[in-house]
Amino acid sequence: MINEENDFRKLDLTVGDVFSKDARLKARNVNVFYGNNKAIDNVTIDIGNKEVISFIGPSGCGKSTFLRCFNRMNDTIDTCRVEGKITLEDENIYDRKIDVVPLRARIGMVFQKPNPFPKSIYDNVAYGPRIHGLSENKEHLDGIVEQSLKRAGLWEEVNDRLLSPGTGLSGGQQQRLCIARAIAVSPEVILMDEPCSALDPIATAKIEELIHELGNEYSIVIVTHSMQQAARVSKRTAYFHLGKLIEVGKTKNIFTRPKHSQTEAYISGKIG
Amino acid sequence: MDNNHISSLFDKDLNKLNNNLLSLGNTALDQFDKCINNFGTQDIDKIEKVINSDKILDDLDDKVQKLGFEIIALRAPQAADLRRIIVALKVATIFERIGDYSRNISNRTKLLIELNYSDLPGVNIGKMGQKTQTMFEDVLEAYMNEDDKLAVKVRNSDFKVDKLHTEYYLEIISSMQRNKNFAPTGAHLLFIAKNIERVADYVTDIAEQVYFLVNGSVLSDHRPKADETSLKVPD
Amino acid sequence: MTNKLINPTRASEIVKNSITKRRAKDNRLKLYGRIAIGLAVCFLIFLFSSIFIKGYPGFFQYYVTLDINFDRERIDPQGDLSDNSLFNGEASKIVNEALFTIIDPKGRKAKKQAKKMVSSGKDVRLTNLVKSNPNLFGTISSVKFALDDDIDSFLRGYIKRETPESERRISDQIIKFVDKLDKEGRISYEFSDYILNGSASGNPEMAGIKGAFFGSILTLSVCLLIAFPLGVATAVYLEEVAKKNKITELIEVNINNLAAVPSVVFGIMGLAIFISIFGMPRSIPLVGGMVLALMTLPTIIISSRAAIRAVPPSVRDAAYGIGASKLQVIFHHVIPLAMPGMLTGTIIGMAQALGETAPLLMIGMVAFIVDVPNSVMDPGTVLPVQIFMWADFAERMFIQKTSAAIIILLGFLISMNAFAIYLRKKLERRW
Repeated sequence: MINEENDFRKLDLTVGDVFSKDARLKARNVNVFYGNNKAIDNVTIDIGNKEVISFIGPSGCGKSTFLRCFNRMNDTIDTCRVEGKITLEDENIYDRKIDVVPLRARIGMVFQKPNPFPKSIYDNVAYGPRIHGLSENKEHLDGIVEQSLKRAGLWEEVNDRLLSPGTGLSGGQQQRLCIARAIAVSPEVILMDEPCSALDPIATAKIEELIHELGNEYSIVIVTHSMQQAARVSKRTAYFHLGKLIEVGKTKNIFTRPKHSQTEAYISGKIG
Repeated sequence: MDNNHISSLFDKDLNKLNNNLLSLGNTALDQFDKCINNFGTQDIDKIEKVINSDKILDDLDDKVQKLGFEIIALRAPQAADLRRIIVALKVATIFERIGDYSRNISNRTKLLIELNYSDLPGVNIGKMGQKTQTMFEDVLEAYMNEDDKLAVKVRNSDFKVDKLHTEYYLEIISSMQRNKNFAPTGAHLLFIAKNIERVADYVTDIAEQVYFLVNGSVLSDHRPKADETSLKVPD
Repeated sequence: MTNKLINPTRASEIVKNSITKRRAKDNRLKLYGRIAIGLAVCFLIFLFSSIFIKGYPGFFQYYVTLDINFDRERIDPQGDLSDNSLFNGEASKIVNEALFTIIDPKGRKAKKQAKKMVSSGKDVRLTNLVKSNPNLFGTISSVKFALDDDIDSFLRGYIKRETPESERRISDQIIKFVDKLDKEGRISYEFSDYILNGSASGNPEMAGIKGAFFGSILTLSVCLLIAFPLGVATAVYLEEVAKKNKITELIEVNINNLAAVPSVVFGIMGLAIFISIFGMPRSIPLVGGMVLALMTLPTIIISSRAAIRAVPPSVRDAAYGIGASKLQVIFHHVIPLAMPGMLTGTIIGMAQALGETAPLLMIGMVAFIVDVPNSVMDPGTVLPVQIFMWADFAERMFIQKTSAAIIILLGFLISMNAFAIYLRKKLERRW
């Protein structure tokens, strides 16, 4: 009986700890094509339970594309084709039988530019629970909204104006609102695609602290173009380059003694 | 520490580093205290304990080095944070070396006991040791409170220990000249005195680091020195 | 490598020197723009003032005040105010008698001419008056009656005394009578209650736009109810649901072409399909509305598609990301955000439809309809067609009433557009 791990290591494609003991999401041999262009080349990686893992790499390396595979957001792009297996609790999410709608409630997403709905703060957070039928009555829904806003660190600032429009908040607050919105449907995994790139340093620091707290409840995968952010925020880091996963490992190790020379070059600012 | 960072993890790491460093410093001070006392009491068991406890200091130093290195790699500290980390790394090394000297003093004390050493008038190792002890305590306090004035005071007290060292050096040399049999004892005494003087120098180094930590600049004028042992040749 | 860049000092010198020329060019452009706008404003003022000047008099007409003896037995012989009874009554005769007491015509010819002085709608006016106010029975009260359109034209000055009698539409005798009435102060120039309350009529003094107005409203309502949901649904389907392939491209090209097709073609199509094949009745607002709907659909579809395209993808991403299904994304997010644009396009389409004449002529909405249509199945006509028909008639008074009707039509259009802007402002959401 060949152990999957050893088998994989023999191929020696990615350096470092690709697998986790307690994995939430498992990606195996994932290829992604845009038309005829291969954007992701044979990537295998585990996302651990309640861990914060960051994807880093130069622009165009495919990290955002790969992130969007986890909640099948690539389905909305006509020319995009995904091959391989991604399992959430041993269920292949690309199986034809899987309905993408409840999947996206289990795997939430926060985008680069804060995009609250043009509705009130309350309705923004309540939208998800409403369409998925998660709340039993108004009181319950109020509770979900309050809890989500508290977890996102926004409750103190907005509890007196829940009916004012979400778009009236500052950038950092809007992003936290989007995080609250994602939390409201009780996901298992939260995907974040460069969540702080549109924010100033203070707002960024607050969101990073929030991510640190959320990491105790959810698995978080964060794509970032800032290495320093990956160093600050994640326990594990994965380095992508031109669609390939080059190295994965404990953030501490990646930033002090990376195993692959390409990782070393990128981290020390030697290549773009 | 003053203001908290937005990142609580950063604070946590900095506090861990600080606690380890203070632990290292206090242990080094404790070792030094003990080795000076043991010189007076000549208690073999206590001396052995000091020698064996030196490993603790090595381990603590390793921890501080590793932690400081990681914080620099992962947090890219700036301004006062950066100075704190760099100073912590340097000071940890110094504490570890002071610990080595305490161990050396203890070893030589053991040998003196075997040689039946009792007392040499004009050479008060205890006095020198206590002056150094006071400096050490003050510098630890200066580091904990980031008190640059106290640090400057410590730095300026170094010459007193140097003076004593010069005095005792001359006295021991004379004794050795008068009595050839005294030579082995004298040699050990010389080393012990030198070691204490080196510890005082290291403590002064720490004081200068504390000044840098607080002000971001180096103490410009030369520290007052009074060690003329390398300059004087006894007749 | 030689440095091709000009050195900074020289460069700023050159730029400084070129400023005067550039400023002059800018200013010339500004001047041309201002002249153009000025000309446009002048034309606009000219257009509106000429319409207004021509049409304003159409809202007024000449009335004669007569003292009517409200004799019940003669007006309402059966005594029950029923239409039958009033029809058999002598309302006309009573009015004529009231007139004769003032002008005292002598001879059969004079009397015959005098009878025609008051508008032939006098009996209807009288009977309507007693129906709504039976208390008038047994009294002698003053009632205003509209004057015949020739007398009206004379009073306005279009028919002149100086013209020889053989070339005039009214005789010298009538003129004498009119002068008599005028001397007694019984002739007044009032706001016409016919223009808004009257329907189509051969008599210009009684003609009004009421029937056409309601006909327009009914036709446009049918058009809106068909075209808006269909247009929006089509746009949503084409933008959100249909796969982008050759077929959808073909559909898009066809829709764009349809928007440019002359409207009369839609009328021919309506005639051929709705009336000939489906056998629907002619000249009803239902068919008119359907034809107009076909005509407006391309406009609505095109503007709705543009509005949907303008919804930023970030909103869709957010909705999909939270687990909304495709339909939920469309109905909860895309359509509400695209609604202002869709409404604007719809109302532009409606305003176009309001002014359409040719296709409605094709399906026969030219019938001379006297009654106000009550439902979409009653025969009716629309404002522009009414205007078109009036423009055909020879009587002078119709010219004024036509201009007045044009003003009403323009007013209708302006209020529709104003409503559109109000709606759009109200519904606009920032994203």
